[in-house]
Amino acid sequence: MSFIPRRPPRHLLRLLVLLAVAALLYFYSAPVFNAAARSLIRVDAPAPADVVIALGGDARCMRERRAAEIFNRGLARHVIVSGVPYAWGVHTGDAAKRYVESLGVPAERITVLRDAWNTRREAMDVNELMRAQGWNRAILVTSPFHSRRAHYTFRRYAAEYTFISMPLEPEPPEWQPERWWSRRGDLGITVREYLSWINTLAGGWR
Amino acid sequence: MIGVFGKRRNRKPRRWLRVACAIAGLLAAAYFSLPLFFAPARVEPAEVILHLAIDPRSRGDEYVHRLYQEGVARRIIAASSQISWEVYSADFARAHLMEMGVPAENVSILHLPMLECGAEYLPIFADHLKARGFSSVLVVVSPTLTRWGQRRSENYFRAAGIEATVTFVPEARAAMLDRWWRTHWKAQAIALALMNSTIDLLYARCR
Repeated sequence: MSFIPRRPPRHLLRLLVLLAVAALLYFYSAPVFNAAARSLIRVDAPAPADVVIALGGDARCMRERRAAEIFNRGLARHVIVSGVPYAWGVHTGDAAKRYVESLGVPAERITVLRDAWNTRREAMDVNELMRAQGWNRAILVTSPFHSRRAHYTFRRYAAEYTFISMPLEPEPPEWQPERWWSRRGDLGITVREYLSWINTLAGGWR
Repeated sequence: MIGVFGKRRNRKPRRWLRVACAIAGLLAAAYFSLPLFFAPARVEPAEVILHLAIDPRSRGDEYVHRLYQEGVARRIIAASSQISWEVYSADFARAHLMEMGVPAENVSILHLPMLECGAEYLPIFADHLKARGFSSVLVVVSPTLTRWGQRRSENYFRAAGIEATVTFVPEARAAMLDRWWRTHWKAQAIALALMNSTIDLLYARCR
């Protein structure tokens, strides 16, 4: 009686492949997801500029606080804050300006972008402002998850000028890239940021 | 043999066509079912209106004022978290309502912390209402209110002993859904509503 090796059934092979993929995902998904989130961040070396821009959309005003710190360190001679007419009687840009003033920036050195509904609009408004003022270099301050897209958008819509990315630190209460999927807020921000990247690269909605 | 290979070659385009048709069908179904995803407007008389539709698009102040004038409720609570440094949009909503003629004693303010999902605010609202002796509330929120969000909130209030109806500004909903695919803020609002509803399911405290 001779032993004839039989090929394992196809469904067993499929199951093994599936298990191998599941094991790989289990052990390597965390580093891959962490790296994917870190790839959203862009940090440049600090350098002097004509103006520091605190991009809008931060209700805690941590971006504005960092912009004021950069101004007070002497890295920039002007500050731009931005906002939108939020509700009756309140413009978030005016509120941001008051806050930056309270941190020691003279009122005459602050410019408010008044219709900052999205990053692209901010970049186009900054492009016009920099041309009018004769500025050439700007420091961009935003949240870490938004920093690479903001820099990309400003390079695209204000191509004549140099932008230096100096985002907030990825520390609480800010978004953090490590294990972002374990926190409800950070998961929402990360997914939204990837959707925004798709819209930005496609040159979609303004 | 040639015939067999020839047959196989023809199958691929047909398979891709089927996949493309299936994707197109799913997209069409998703597009036409969008109104089903969002909650219908409902207004029930209550002791108090909880005004949360304070944002650039909702025109909530005018709607809440209209409900107040129609006698739907005799008290209003404007609630918001901060929108800039120490700036709460609820403060401005109260001033706006007073300017429109609502007596100051009938409009109060609730300042909220910044939390991660809508469900986390429900205990704060329930405690605030119960502490002031209210047993029924009409909650006015943004037009992205989903059916699921509406049901979850009403059930929560009911379990806390408060009869609640959750609604939105109908004009704001109509504006949001009007050719939404052509405007950034409309597409963004709808995409975020879909995304947040899905993500909320993953977290026990947000479900």
